[in-house]
Amino acid sequence: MRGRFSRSMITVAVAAAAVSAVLSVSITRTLGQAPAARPARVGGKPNFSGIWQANNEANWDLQAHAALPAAVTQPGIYPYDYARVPAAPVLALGAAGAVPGSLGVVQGDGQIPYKPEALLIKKQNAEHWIDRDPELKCYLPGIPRAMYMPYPFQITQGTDKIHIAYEFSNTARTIHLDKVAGPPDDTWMGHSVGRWDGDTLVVDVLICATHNLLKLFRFGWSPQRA
Amino acid sequence: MRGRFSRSLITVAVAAAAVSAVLSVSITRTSGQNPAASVKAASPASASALKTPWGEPDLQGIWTDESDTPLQRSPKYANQEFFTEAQRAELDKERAALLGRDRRVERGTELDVAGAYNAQFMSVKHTGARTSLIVDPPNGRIPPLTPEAQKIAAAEREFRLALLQSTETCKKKSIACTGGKYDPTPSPRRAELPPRYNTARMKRRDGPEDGALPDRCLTGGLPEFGGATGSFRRIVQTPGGIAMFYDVGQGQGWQRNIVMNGSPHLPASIRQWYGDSRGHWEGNVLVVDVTNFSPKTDYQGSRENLHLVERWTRTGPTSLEYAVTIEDPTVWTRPWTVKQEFTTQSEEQNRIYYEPRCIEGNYASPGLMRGQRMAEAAFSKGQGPDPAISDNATDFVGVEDDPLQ
Repeated sequence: MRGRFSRSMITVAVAAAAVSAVLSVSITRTLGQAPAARPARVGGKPNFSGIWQANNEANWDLQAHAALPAAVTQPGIYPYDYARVPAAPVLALGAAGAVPGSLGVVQGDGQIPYKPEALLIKKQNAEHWIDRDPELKCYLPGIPRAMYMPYPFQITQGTDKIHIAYEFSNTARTIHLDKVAGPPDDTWMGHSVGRWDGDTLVVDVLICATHNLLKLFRFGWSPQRA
Repeated sequence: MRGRFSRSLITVAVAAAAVSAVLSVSITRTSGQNPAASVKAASPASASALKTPWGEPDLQGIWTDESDTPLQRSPKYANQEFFTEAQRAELDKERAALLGRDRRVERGTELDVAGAYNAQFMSVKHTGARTSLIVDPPNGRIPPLTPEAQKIAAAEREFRLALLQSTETCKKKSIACTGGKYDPTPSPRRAELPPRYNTARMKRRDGPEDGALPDRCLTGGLPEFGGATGSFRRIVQTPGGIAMFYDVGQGQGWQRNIVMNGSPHLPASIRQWYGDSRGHWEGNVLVVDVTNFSPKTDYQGSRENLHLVERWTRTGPTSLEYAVTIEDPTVWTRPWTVKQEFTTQSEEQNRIYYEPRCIEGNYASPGLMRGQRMAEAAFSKGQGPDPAISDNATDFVGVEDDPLQ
C-alpha cells in the first residue's frame, strides 16, 4: 500500500554477493556524511535544490490552537470545550495521536478569515475527520498541504522545470518555468507555473478538484524564508 | 472534504527570461527513424554537445519510445538484431490491420464478460528498428531460469490452476487452464496462501492482497520498458541531483530520485518499491545502479534480488539512448541487457500525466471483494450460483495475435 509505510522495514537476508554485484564504484562514504557542495545559484537564480522539511506544526492545524488530546475528540464528563477527550476510534493511539499546540502559520492573528458557510463545512469536516480526511486513505495531499506534512521533500531545480518529490505517497509535482498547456482535467496536486520576481520564485497553483478546496494559491519563495 | 466545484482558468504571463532559459534544444519530431541513426553507438565522441548550464550532459525533457518493439525476439529471427526495411513495412501493414478489430472469445460466455481490453482499445505504434528490446544474449531472449526459479514458477502456476479447477474455464479446457485439470469440487488449496507474496491475478478475493498489484494501484516499477498504455518519463536535473517522473500504466505514475553524491546504497534491511538508485557520470553517460527492491515487487519472477545497471546517453537533439543490464542470480542463469531509443516530446504540449491518482479512484478493489462476499452469502442461502464455479480472474486469452511477438 502506498503511503509513508510503503517502505516496508523487512529484514531480508540478502546475500552480500547479490547486493554488491558488479558495482565498480568504490563505496567509501558512510551514511550521514554531508552531501557534495551545492551551488547557491543556478542559471543566475537562487538554487532551491535539496531536501527540506516544514519546521512547524502546520500539519495539524494552520491556525493558532491549543494542544489537543487527539485529532478527533468527544465530550468528556464535563460539558466544557477544554475538557473534551479523544474520540473512541483514536483513543488507543494515546499521546502519539495528540495534536501539538501552535501559534499557527497564518500571518496576523493566526486565523483564516472563513466565511460563515465555509466555517460550518470546516467544523463538520473536523468532526468527521476519520471518514473525510483524504490523508487517511493515502490520497494525494494537494497543495499547499504537501508542503507542510511532517516529512521531508526534495526539490530538484532544473533549467525549465522544478520537480518536487514528497515522501508521503510518492507524491510529486512539477513547477513549470516555461510555457505549457494547461492540465486536461481536474488535478489533486494542482498545475504549478512559476516565475522569478527578483530572487523570489512566485508559483501560481491552479487547483480544481472536488476533493480539494477551490483556491488559487500564490506562493513566494525567497532565500530568506526558504 | 468536499467543496463546491467551479473552474477558474487563469492565464499566467510567464516572463520571457524564464521561458527561454539556457537550453538551446530544437525540438523536432521525426517518425520512422533510420535504423543506422537510431543504433549509432553512444560514445562521447558522437554525442551532441548538449549540456546543462553547469556542464553536464543534458538529459532533461519528456522522453518516450515512439515505436513498438517486443521485449523478446521471435525465434524466427534468430540472431538478427534489426529488421530490414521490407520486414518493418510488412509488419506495419499486418499490425495496422489490428486497429479497431473487435475480436473476442465466444460472445455471452463467462470469459467474454470477464475480458477487459481487446484491440478496440489499443493504439498501435510503428514497428521499431530492432527485432527485440533485448540486445544481449545475442538471441534477443531472456536467459534460462535457474532451477530454483523454475521450481517457484511451477509452484505458483500449480496454485493458481488449483484455484481454477472447478470453473468453466477448466471444464471447457480453455488455454488459460493449460497444465491444470477440471474437478467440480473446489480445491482445498483455496484455504492456503500462495507460495510467495501475491502479485498477480488469481481466482480468489478474500482480502486486498489477493488482488494483483495493478488492482491495488501498485504496478509502477523498474525496469520500465513501456506497455500498451504508454510510458513517458520526465527527467529534471540540477547540479548534483537528478529526478525522474514516470507516467505509466493507467494513472500509476511514480517518481524516483537518483542519488548522485557517491554515498552507498541503503542498508540491506531497507527495501523499496522502486529500489534505491545511485548514479554517477562516466564521461557522457549517466550510470545508475539500482538495488534494494522490495520482496513485494515482481519483474519476470525477480523480486528482492533484482539488480539493475542503467546507462543513459543523450545521443542527439531529440534522442536519448537507454540501456539496462538486468541480473538476479537466483532467477536467471546470466545477466541480460535491454536497449531502447527515446524521442523527446513537446514540453509545451506537456502530455505527461504527472498525477498518479489511481488510489483516489480505486473503487474496483473494494468492489471486487464485496462482490465475492455477496455472492458467497447468496449461495449459502441457496439464492445464487456457486461462486467457486465462476472465473472472474481470467482475462482474454488466445484472442489476438500480435505479429510482433
